[in-house]
Amino acid sequence: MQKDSPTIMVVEDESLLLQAITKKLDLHKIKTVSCTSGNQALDYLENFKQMPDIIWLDYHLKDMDGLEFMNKLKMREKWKDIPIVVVSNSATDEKVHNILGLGAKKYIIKAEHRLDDIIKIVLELISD
Amino acid sequence: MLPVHSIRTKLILAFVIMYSIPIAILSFSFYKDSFDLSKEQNLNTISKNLNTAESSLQSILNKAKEDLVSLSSLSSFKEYALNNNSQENVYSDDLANDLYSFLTNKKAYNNFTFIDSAGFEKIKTIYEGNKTYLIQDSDLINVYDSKYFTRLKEIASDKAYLSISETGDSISVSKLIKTAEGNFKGVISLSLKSAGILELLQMSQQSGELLILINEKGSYISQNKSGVSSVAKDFPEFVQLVKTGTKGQFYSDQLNNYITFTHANLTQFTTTSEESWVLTSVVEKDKIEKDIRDSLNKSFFYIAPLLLVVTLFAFLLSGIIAHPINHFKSTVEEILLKGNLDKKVDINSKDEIGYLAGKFNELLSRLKDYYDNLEKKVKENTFEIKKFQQAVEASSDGIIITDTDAKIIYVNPKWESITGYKLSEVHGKNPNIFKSEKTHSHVFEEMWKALKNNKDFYTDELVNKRKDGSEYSTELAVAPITESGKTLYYVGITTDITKRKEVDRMKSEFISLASHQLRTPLSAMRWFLEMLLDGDAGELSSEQRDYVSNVYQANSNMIELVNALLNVSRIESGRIIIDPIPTDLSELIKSVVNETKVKYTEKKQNIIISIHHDLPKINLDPKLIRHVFLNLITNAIKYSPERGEIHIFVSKNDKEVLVQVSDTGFGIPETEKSKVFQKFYRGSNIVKYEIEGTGLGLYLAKAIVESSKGKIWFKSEEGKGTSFWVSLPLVGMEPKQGEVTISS
Repeated sequence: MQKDSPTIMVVEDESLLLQAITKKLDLHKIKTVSCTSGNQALDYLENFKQMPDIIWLDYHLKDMDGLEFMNKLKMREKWKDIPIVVVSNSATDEKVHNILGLGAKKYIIKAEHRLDDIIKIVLELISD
Repeated sequence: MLPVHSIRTKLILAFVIMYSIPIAILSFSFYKDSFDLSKEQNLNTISKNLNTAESSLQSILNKAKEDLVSLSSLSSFKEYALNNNSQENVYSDDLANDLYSFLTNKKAYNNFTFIDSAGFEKIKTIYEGNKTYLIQDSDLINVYDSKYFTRLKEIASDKAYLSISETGDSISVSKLIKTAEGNFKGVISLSLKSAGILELLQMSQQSGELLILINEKGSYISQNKSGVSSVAKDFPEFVQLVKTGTKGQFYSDQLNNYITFTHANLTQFTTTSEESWVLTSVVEKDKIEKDIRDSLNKSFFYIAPLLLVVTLFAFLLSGIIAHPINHFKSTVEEILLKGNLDKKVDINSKDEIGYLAGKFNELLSRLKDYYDNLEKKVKENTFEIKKFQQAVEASSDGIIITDTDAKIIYVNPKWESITGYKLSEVHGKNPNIFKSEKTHSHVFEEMWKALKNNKDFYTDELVNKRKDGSEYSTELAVAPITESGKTLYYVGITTDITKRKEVDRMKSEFISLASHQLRTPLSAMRWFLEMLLDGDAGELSSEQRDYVSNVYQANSNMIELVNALLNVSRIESGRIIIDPIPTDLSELIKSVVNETKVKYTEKKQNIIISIHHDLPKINLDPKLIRHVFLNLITNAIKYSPERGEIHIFVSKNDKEVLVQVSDTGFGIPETEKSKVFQKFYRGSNIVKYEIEGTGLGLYLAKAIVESSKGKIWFKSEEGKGTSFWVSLPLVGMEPKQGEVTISS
């Protein structure tokens, strides 16, 4: 629960998208940690003291899918409470169910929202 | 040789009965008639004989009377009789000689007697050994006191007196001797032996015993015995005869005798008043009947061989008649035994049997034809069936046949190669041995429901297990085989669709992946464009803003297109989940209208909603139905000019709910109406007005409506407006398992 500058970890393997997201977050004065793969994200979480306030997770990553990542998070005490927002371009009920079942706070479909809107949702979740 | 139950036996019996009965009847009547006739004749003969006997008796007695007269006329006798008064008995030799010569050879007379008026026997002769002898004086008696003498004296002189001796063994004919003046001088008589008379009367054996009944007391003379003793106790009925009529004939039960009688005419004689001579013939019944019986019995000896001959004849004749029947019989037996339909019955007689044989042969040949025909048909059929059998055997689909108890009775080679089981291993077993848990139970439920109702069933969601345990996807089509409404078997056709499923999966994965891949750069483009338009990278000039807006628009179009394509491919692959929940249509439509508010407000259009007051909640998948109405309403907005009116009506009838969306827009050109629901169709008249539009909206809407068992149609006039209707069944949508939802 950081007050001034929340940190969002964005896990997105599409560099263009990552650029757009981080740019927008910057504009909103939010600190971002960018990871382009699941493992990179896990590395960060492993090695850095400060945990992010929320993780923006793309479902389809090059090295693992969202479910796998979430399961890995659950395995560590200091990771399992970090709120997760899964942002993806496709969704099946099953996927959504499973992800939400594993503790994701929200499952957002990129195509349905403007970038601003997504960021708004994420910020709302942080302040909860 | 002659079985009990055969035509021949029946014929013989018939013959025998046929001639036996008339012969019996005739014989009987003949017998009876002959018997009666014979008996009558015999009895008549007896009567005649009796009459003859009576005549003879008459003659004998008359002769005796005449002889008496002759004797009394003898001069020697006259001299003696009329003049003799003394006690001495002297008669001349002349008299003796006269008497000798008169009486010699007269067998009938036993005695000649002269009795004087005092009753003394004076002269008495006796006939013995063909000679007449004078009886000595010492043996002569006086008969003055006898009844005989007393009675004699009273009779007329011209009459002769007939009498029977006390003992009954002799009869006397007597006459009075009187002088010319009428003085009684004595009596002369001739006596005859009764037995002798009877002998003279000569009744034959057959005429029976002759008796002469004398009086009511029962005195009689007979050949066997004679007596003056009462015959009453021996022959009581006979006693009556003395009183009854002149003649007659009757049968006596007591004695078993036929009695024939005739009264002797004795008018020339005087007899004692009680006497009345009745000649009686007594014949044993058997004697009368015996002869007849014997001769008739003899006649049997003629009949018996006759019967034998006729029976033989019956035997032979029956054989002749029965022979063709037996021939028929043995021919038929042979035909049946050997199954030889070519053999014919060889009987050509013109009677019914010949006719029957002919018809039988006809029948045989028809049977043969029919049989041959049948064989041919069976061969043809078998050939036909073989065709199908081979088709089944060679099919590249697995074919399985079960009985109504779900026991496998046949699987074809392809099935064996798909599953790894041989027919011998699965015969008689239930197909659920190949079930895999991966198959959803609803597949089996639907299958049995269809089969129970004699309906065909199809699924492509079956997962089965091979003999080696590996699993494979298969489609299955099952159909019942019925005969006259009764189900006999189930036939299932299976195809291993693992590859196809794989291909399908790959296709959808590809589409999924492709859409995801497409979406990623599209999202990137969108966000950067947004940031540009938001001024995050600096203020834009109006021209720059223009260009960027265009790019943004194009990008939006592409995103929409990709979404639409994704939905189309999802719908087409049948992978869309249908998740019906009780949905309030009016709420749904209102929310859709709300979603499009920006658009119609921008165009200053008027949306009027009128919803049936009593609309029930319907089981619909809100996501899918929303998509439909969103499309229709968006179309109405897009293809109507500014300030246009859009009406939305929601009504219902007892079966369905009806949603109508009407606009006052550009309408659909007449020539294009048939293409409206096609993929990528956009009206030629609106393309220039409205850039946005994928041409897929109605195609999707139609697909969704139809998979909900509803209907969608429209009416339109170019330049005036368009109305679209959607009807959905009140019973709602069926849930469907799938993998994806529609995306907006």
